[in-house]
Amino acid sequence: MNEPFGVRLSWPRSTVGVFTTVVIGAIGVILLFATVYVASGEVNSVADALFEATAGLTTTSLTVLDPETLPSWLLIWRGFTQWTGGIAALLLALIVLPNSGPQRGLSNIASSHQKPPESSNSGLCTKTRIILIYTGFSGAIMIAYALFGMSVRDAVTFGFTTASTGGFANYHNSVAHFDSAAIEWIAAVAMGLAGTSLAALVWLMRGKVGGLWRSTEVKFYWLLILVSTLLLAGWTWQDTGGGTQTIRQCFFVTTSSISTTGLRLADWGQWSAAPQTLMLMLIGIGAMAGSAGGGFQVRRVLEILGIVRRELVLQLHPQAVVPVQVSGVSVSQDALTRVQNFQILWVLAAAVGVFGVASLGTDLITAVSVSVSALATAGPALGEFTGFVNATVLAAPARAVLMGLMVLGWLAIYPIVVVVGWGIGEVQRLRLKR
Amino acid sequence: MRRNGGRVVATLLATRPWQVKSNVAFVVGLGLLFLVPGMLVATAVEWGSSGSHNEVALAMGALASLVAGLLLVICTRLEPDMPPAAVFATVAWTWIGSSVFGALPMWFSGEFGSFDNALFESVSGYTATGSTILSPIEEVGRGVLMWRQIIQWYGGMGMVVLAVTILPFLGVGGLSLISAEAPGPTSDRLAPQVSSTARRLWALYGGITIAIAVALLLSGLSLYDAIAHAFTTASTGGFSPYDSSIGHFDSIATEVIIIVGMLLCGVSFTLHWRAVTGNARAYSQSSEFRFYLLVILLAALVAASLNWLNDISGLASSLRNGFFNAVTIGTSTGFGNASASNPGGDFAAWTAGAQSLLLPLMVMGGMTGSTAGGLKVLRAQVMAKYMRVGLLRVKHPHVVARVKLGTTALSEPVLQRVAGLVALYAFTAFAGTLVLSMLGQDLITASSGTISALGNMGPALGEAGPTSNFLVFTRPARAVLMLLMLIGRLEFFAILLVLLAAYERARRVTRIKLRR
Repeated sequence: MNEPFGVRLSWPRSTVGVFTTVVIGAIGVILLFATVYVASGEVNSVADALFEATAGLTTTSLTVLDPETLPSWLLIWRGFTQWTGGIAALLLALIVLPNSGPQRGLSNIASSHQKPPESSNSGLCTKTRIILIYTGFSGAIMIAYALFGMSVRDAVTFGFTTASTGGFANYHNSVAHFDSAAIEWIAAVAMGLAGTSLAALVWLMRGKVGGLWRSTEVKFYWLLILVSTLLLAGWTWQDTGGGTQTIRQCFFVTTSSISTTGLRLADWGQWSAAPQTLMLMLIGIGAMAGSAGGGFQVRRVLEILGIVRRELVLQLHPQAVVPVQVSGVSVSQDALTRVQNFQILWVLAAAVGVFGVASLGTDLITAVSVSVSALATAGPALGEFTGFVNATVLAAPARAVLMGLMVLGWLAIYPIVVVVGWGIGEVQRLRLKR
Repeated sequence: MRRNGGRVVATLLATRPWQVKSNVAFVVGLGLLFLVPGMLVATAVEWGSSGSHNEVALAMGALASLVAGLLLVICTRLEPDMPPAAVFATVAWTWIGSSVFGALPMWFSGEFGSFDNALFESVSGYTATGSTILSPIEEVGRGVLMWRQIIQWYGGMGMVVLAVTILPFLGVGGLSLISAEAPGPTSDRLAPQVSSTARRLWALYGGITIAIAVALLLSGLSLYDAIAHAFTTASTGGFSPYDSSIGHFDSIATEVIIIVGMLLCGVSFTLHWRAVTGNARAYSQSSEFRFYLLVILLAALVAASLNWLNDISGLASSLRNGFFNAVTIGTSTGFGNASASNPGGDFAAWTAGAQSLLLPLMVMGGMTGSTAGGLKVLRAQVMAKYMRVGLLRVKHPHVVARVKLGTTALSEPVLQRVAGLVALYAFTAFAGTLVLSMLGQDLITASSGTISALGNMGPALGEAGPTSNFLVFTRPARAVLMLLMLIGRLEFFAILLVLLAAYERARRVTRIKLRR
């Protein structure tokens, strides 16, 4: 590996070692971000700084600051923290976790960002390429924003937070502030692309549409966007004024939800229950594996659907051998076991989060929606969160619960659980020695 | 007496050349015949009570079931071989048939309005769910209300198991019939013969019901109330002839008896059988039983302390309400104990944190082989252990770790099946939530309503709390709920197979039309 300052850096060989490094690294970066907020003099409480830093690194759009009172440099820094979170998620998922530890296939377990099958032969997985593509993508978004009327400051910040599926905004009304159809279209498409896996983006750039068409994941992701946009448009036709305006708004809200970005355009709270539930479900499903987005992730959803189908067949033909396939490739039994475990862990984390937030003084609907949203690293929620409010509507202890959920979701749960479990084991061993 | 009964059964079962071979129709017919005594009891209750006069409706319902049941039984004959698909179809159609015929007396009485309302009540009854569309309940005559309670009692142990008690010659098919209907992944034989297994199950069930009824009677309830509530406690159903459910009595003694009754019936009947036949340590040997008690106890204590700390109610009444509601939700019963003097019994009034504890309880449900619904404690326990092994494998990729239940290690395929069913359950819950919210319910009502229907619980959170009724759901939403209740009670496949078969048939018909 690299040898800066003559010190040989290498990743630890054991899984626990890698996970510990990752978790400590994440905590370190959060502390660093928080220090900047505190040092800037704009954020008075350490708890607020920590929350903002966590939301930044985990690319969640929950904020406790009032962006319209902050200086420009801090806004750009705030956007940059999310951009860092996005690139860190990609590198962790595609480089660090798959190639370290005793088991190369670890990526499947360790992070939400699995290597999609087509990425292995596209030569994507080098650090430089990932950074280049991600930077290029962010740059393109910034230029497009600037061309259609954003100031440079806003273009840079929104570029950072769109490409990383972060969702921090410089204004209370988020993207609605600009009141520009062009910017809304750009943001919507960019969010949709940011939630697509990096490998698929490479295929798209190379013009290999056939490869995209063979990937069930890509098809499922964009079909979900299409169907949800249409459903949403049908439900909110009256509220949003009809015509292209409705289509645009609904497309924006859909991609913002499924990519777990959380840029806002409309106030969900004014809609009826069905679109609200649908949006929350999209947030829960989340982006594609191998993107910067969070959530349960489309690949896992497809695997779970395969398991469901297999279970149905097995009930009738208990001896049958039913393969579970994604994109025409059979998923190994190990991978299926992992996804089932991950499903349980995810639901469990959400349930604990709901209990935590709810018992610290909110209503149930807020607790459920904000927990799911935080675990998916999205941000928008229902209940007290409707309208353009920020996370200060929750009490400080409840926000601490959310911080935990965001980090859990960003690291796809496993590293944290393993490290904590290992730590508890070590402590017990020490006690026994005494 | 017994010989005469045997002769009647033998006449019914005798083969005649003109009979159609159909196990499905035969068992459905038997199921309908079993309804007749229940309806006659309800007719007698109605006759004896003052105020309402629905004897004719109930008697007509009994007559309809009798005629339809006899026709089916006489015109069909059993085949000894039963392929798995036929087993599932038999169970599903028996449940659908009983639900429709069980709804008839309620519909005839005119107290329920349209037929779909009566059907909802009937499905909610048979599946031991306990969601009602009646309000106020007391205005409906006592006989019809008693019929509602009896429906739940039938549904608790299952019509098909009842049919198997008198079908000794079904052989292997019989056991798969029981396991297709009994809740949970395993169905243990209690006896070498299938029909005696079924008979023992029903005997235990009847015994527990009588015990609860006697205890309730001693706690000061009238005979009618004691029997009515014993029926729905034993079946973990939760119907009550009163709007305020158990809160109507506002008696701690009654609540304690009901709590114990519900806890008993959320326990596997196999364990009860072992205990009754002399193995007193059967309970303590079962890790599922310990897990079941622990989870409910923990939820009750935490909920009670949260309510107490947030000044919802005093310590004593917080404990009382915490225990009652944790047990009623944890066993998928769904009684309420809120009353004017005890408003904290309505969990809709609890703090959000305490309410959020009820959701996992709703999902988990009771033990396998009990009358309770939900995902079942055993599955939750297996999944928890499976997850631990999975995490261990992340840490030590080559570790050999197995999931053990007691002393038996579970094989990987079995684990996969459990995990598959959990995934199926989760998927259905999400789909149900989405559909219900499309039909106009808010997120909490839609999600908890789905989980409650799928787990055969009864009350839900949000608008469908323990004191409100299910008319808050729109008509199409109630149809979805009915489907979810049946799917949950019969654990997916029976109902899905029937739907699938209908779809296949429709497709075949259209294909033939296209060819022409």
